[in-house]
Amino acid sequence: MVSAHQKAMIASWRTVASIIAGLLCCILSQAAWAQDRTAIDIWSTTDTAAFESLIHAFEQANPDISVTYHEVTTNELYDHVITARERRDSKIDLVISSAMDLQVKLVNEGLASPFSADKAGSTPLWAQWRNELYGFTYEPIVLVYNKAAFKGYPLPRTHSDLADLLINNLPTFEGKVGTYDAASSGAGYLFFTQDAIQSDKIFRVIEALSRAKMRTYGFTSAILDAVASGNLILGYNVIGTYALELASRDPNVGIFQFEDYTIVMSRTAFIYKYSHKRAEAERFMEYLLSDAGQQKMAQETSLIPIAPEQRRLKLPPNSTNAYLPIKMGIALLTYQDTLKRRYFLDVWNSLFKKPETE
Amino acid sequence: MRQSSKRLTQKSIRHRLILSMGAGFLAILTVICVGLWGYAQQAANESYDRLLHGAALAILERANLTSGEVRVDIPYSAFEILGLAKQDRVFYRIFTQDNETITASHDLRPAANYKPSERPVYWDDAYSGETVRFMQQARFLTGDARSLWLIVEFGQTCIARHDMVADLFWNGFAVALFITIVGLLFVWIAINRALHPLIDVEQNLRQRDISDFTALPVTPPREVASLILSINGFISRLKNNLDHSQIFIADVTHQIRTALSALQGQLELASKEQDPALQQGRVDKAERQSRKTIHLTNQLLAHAMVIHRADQKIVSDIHLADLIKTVLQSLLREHMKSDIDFSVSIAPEIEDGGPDADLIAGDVISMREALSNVIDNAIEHGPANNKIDISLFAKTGKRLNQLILQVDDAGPGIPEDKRLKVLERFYTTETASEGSGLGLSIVDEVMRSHRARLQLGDSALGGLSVRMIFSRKSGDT
Amino acid sequence: MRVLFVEDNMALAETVVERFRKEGHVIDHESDGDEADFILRHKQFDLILLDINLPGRNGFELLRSIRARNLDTPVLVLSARSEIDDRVVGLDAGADDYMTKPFDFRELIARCRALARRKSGLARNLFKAGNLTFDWGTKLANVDGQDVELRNKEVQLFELFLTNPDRVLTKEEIADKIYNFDETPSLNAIEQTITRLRKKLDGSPFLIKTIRGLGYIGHIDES
Repeated sequence: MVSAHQKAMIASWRTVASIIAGLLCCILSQAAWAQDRTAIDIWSTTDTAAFESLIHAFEQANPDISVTYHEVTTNELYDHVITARERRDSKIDLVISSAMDLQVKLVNEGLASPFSADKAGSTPLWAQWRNELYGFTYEPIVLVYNKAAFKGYPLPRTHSDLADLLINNLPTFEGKVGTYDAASSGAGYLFFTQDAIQSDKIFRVIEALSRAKMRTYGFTSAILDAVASGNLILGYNVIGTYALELASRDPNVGIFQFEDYTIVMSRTAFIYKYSHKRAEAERFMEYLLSDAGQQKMAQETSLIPIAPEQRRLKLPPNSTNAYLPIKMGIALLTYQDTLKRRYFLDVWNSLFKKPETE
Repeated sequence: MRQSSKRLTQKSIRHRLILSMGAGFLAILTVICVGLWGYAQQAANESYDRLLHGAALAILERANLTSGEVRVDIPYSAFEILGLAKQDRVFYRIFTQDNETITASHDLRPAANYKPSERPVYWDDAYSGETVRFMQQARFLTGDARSLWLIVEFGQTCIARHDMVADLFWNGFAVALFITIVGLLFVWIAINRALHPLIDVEQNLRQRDISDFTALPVTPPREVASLILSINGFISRLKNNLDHSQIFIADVTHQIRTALSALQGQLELASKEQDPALQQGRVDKAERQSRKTIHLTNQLLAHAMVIHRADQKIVSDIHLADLIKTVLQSLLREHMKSDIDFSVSIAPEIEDGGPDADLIAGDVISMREALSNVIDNAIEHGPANNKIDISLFAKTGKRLNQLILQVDDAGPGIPEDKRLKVLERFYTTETASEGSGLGLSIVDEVMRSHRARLQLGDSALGGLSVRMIFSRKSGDT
Repeated sequence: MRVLFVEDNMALAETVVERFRKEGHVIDHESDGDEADFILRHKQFDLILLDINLPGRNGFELLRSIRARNLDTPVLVLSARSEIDDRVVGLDAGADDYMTKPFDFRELIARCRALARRKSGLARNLFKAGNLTFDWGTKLANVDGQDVELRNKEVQLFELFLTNPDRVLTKEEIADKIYNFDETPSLNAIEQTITRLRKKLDGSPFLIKTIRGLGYIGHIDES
């Protein structure tokens, strides 16, 4: 299952992660009462920066708990959790990821422990599965553009408009469109497979992206940097949270949402089944889903909380009514099928990988 | 008093009915529950088995054999169908007839002894720490180079099934329980309606003055009406009895007071008599009166005794021949010098009929009293040279097994129209008699308590014939 | 005749005592069962008149204790209980006769005399009643000073009646007692013997009552 390449990756992030965790520990455990506290381990794909204030607020509200936060990529996270069972590694208490399909797969493996829906605050039903997996953010997948470079072109309102725009202006956009590498980024894979489910038109878009020689990236920040610097004109299927934050800082960066449909991703969390600190992990989960936690998230992080009251304030002003949240459930396993994934990535690689390697 | 009423409530018809109806309903409810549980499980399994089946078919539809290689493009709809069981985990494996895995989420074991066919197979097994429903569906794929069976195996946890079973069961149970409660309510109302006449009777009797002997109103239904008729019968018998008792007490009072007044009168006269010869006459009279009073008292006590013993139902074996002997023996002590001619004739069929030929069931003391009175009666009322014949014989037939004890005398007898009257208390045929008027009444009481018949008739000897007819007790029982 | 009268009713006791004294008998009166028992241990009596309902020890208990000491003084039980059961128990407990209250005084004295005579007669080998005497030893009967010649069977019959006074004796019982195996008992012969005995003892207080079909009762008339 685990390829040599992945093993190398795991090894590399381990060092990175432990450095980050060490730093975090230093920051978070300044207080003298650190010794009395129970430490819980959160493994997450969310940027530490985006989560930090939330953790801090939780620790202040729960002085007896300290949080160790491990940031990894989606696929790394999946591999780590799935192999933890065999490694009998129980230094995992809470698993948080933006790759909803991988989360569903982990829960389907029976790696989650139940968390009463009564404590789940105002989490909508579509963002819950099996009383184990809970979504806590509401993040539209958006198109990011470099305002300067895009000047003169009409903003595409639908996915078809985008295909037309790219086909009609190939010289301009060639090599100037970027997105996640579906092969290495779990989130990217999820967004594209959701695109495939939502609309037949997506094949025109993909064809257009292919002809525009779309470049692929492993991290959101890489795409955003490229758009900000002008290396890219368009960033397709980018997680809106980070894009919005960048747009608020960089006037040269703009975002927009399609009016035919805009996929909404939710970061999900579950309590690891073999956690030794289930009670504490549950308290963090409860805080994450509580009104207080959601409000904190809205006010002090870049994340868009899932609670309807809170998220409305943070969604982009030109919000469409075409939000299509990814429904949590067993259906998300479809594209996690080995064969299905291979077929998809075969096509993906044939379309996007070859120019890169050439 | 409180104890008995407590015992009564324990045996209340209403409680019994409601208890037995409750038990009946409970039994029905139990049967319904068992049926409901089976039905719910079947329904849930069928529903969710269809999901598995549908998903498998959707996958198999998207499978083909291209240049010898199996291609399976799992449709999103397949898992969406499975997702209808919202909380359940799903495991799957797609493999060929040679058990070569094409794609899988888990390395599931195929069904035991599976032969690929278009028909789905289902089974339950434990997997990944839960009860899992497995299903296998095959499709025959034809290709250019080769053909093969492609099999889809699904495993799904049973949360949705269990939820549906519980849902169906509890909904059904709620309906059944509701019907049960309504049914019991109707039963309760029906019982109360049915018992209402009885409650009326109870209230009537409870509020009744003890001197009120009017009959209860007879109301339907039939079952209660017959009870009321019985109660009315009892009331009238009670009234009769009470009337008789009152008359009896009055009679006894009258008799004893009269006797005692006479005695006192004679004694007073005697004490004031100056002439010794006349005084002796008075004393003799007083003594005679005293004897009469003693006799009366003894008879009254004997009468009370036989009635009391009849109430007590004292029963033992009585050999009538022995009874005759003992009674005569004790009676004759007083009449040794009389010229009365006694004879006893015991019929040969009894004499030779074995030890139990003269056996009846009854109270020996009462029977002795009865026979003594019959003979005494004959002696008292007969002439000095009376003939008294006591005979014992049997009358047997198809359904007849009687012993007859008969006393004949040569006395004056009793006229036919007075034979019923003499059985009444204090009735005597002679106006100035020595008799208490209780003798034959005692006999009558004893006969009645022994379910024997008393017949008075004309004797061949010229006087009265008293016939007592008993049913013989067979010796071997 | 020396009599012990055990009775707690003083009115009755007074009349009985006076009557017995007038008849020339010696009579002691006790009203308590225990006292009576005590006296019986120290004094001899020819007869005991015993009431059943007594303070202290009741009549039956007293009777039982008397019989347990092998004291064979005749006992006549007086009872006010009308139930005849008492009589049976009384006789079973060893009483020789019973009478129910209220009783006739003449009858009472006659019965007492009969009981006393039975005992003293046996003791002295001589039966005496009114004008009738019978010597148990010589088998000689005498009425009004005249010897009565009795045949063998008549003597046996007379003795049988004297030892079973006031009891019904069936012909079969009589035959059993006065005939041995060699003799052919004829019921007719018994009847004839009785008729003869009756005739020979006519004018004496000895009576034989015939109950045809049942048997005979022998009785000494005391009046």
